[in-house]
Amino acid sequence: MIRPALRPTCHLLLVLFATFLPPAVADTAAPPQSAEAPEASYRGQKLADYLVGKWFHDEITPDNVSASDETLLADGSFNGVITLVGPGSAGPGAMKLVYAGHWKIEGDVMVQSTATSTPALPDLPVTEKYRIEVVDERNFIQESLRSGKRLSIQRAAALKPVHATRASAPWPDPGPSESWADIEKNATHTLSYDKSSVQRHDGISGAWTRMTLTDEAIKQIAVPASQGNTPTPKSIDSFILFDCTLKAYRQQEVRVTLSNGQNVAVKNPAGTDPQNWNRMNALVMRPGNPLKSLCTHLP
Amino acid sequence: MKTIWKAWLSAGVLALGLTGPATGASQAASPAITERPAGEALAAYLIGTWYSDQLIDKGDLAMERTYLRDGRFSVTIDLHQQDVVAAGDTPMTSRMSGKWSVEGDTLIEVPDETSPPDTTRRLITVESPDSFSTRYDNAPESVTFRRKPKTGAAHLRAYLQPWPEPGTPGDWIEYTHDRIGTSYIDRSTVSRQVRFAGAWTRYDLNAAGLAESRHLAAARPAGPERVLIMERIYQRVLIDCTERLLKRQETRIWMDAKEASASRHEGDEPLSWERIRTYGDDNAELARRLCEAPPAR
Repeated sequence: MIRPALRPTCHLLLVLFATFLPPAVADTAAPPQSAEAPEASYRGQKLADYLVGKWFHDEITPDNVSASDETLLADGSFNGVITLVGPGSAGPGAMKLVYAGHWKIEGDVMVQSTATSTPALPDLPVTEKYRIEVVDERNFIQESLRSGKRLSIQRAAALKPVHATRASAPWPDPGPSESWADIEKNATHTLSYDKSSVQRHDGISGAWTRMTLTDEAIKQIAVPASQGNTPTPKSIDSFILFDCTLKAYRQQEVRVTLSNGQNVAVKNPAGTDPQNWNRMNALVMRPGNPLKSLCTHLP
Repeated sequence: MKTIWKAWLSAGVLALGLTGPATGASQAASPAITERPAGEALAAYLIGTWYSDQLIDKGDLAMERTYLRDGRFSVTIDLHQQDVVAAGDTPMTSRMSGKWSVEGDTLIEVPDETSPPDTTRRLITVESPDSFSTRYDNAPESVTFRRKPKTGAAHLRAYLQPWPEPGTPGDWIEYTHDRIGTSYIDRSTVSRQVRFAGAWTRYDLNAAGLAESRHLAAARPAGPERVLIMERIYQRVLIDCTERLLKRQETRIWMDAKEASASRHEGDEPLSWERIRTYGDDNAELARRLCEAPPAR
């Protein structure tokens, strides 16, 4: 079993927090149309033009949760990333595969030749073929000619200028303890948010959230981490911008309180590019992630 | 979108994945049955998903077997037990996957994670383009499998239609009840588009069901987590009236007199629809009501 590489503590904490970030119950459904609308004849160049852009597919199975994002460029290149969280002998683990290559269209079939990946896959380069059936402007069905497996693929929502504006705007410091309200409480953690920090601008919200680990959870983390005397997190505060309709979010700042009393703060953990927002994918929308609650219940 | 690499990531084994197709498997569509297919023709015939529903003592078994072109197969067996208080008829499920191939008129399955490989060989008797029978181990009777209908663009389009919020209390009409609860349809939300029908449904535990739930909760070992009693489930469902398939679009669970969780089933493949089972499936009555005699708004 391949396991994620050991990361510096700070990065580990960010990953831990990111996996707890939750999903939204937002309606991003396509405009109404007939369920029996005739399939448009997308083939050749028309199909190639349609496919240029960013696409995603999330999948929850009994064994794992995966999120796939892929960008098809007009120059014939593509790149993608698959993140998968599944059970492991040492507890849940996340694995990420980044890949790139070239694509072309033959009739109604997309031919994808993958040239590189990180970590390195065996047998590269490899070519796969998918029959494409366009459903509407934002959705298509791909059928692997290799396995016959069919998946529905969705076009990623485009960010608006206001997203960059909000990402570049200053954000407040966390409020006093009395301004925090619990979102969720269980055996491993308490999730809460700072009511005094809530902001809304043009459909984009922002708030400080906090995940406080229970003593039992801290012990569980401390055992595997004890080999290097690595301090463990006690609580993680994060100022998050989120667009529940577009299902996009961005962490502006993360502040971690460690078991040894130290505090670690990271501003713009995802980088300073204001266009760099994350998709609220199936990994984010799992139970225990504050984003889902924020999008559903934020007063 | 790379699907084979999910298996690679999941297994975490470099040597896995990118394997060749099963012996004899072809990419052809299911042929018409003019004579008993064997070898490559049988492999081509088997590609797809097959199901079998069986009545057992105090419940029913629903089995689905999927054979992919790349030589992989998967099996899901759901045991639905009667008289069990469980949210949404939650079955006990067992799963298995592995590699398959065909030799003559025999299906060979090699499950993963068995060492040495627990290979099974079963004689396949093709009965029609959409049904075959086979015999399990020393079972006295053969089991008939039927082809599960494929979903496609029409299902995805129906799934993508926005749906309304549940209506007011006066909109709900009872459509079935059992020992522990009652099921309702919200007639104000019934939709019908060609072969697809949709509606909000609700299942309320009655006093006996609530008492049983409380009894089960009290029997749990003490722990830091608070046990909540499920009292009511709202579900927005979509039914393919022609193929008898069902898709859950949204679920809201009420506990302790308030909504405790809501889900739009993010990550659930929109092309993956449930079958309405032959036996013991409450959704059969729901489908009958929505497809054959939809309630007036």
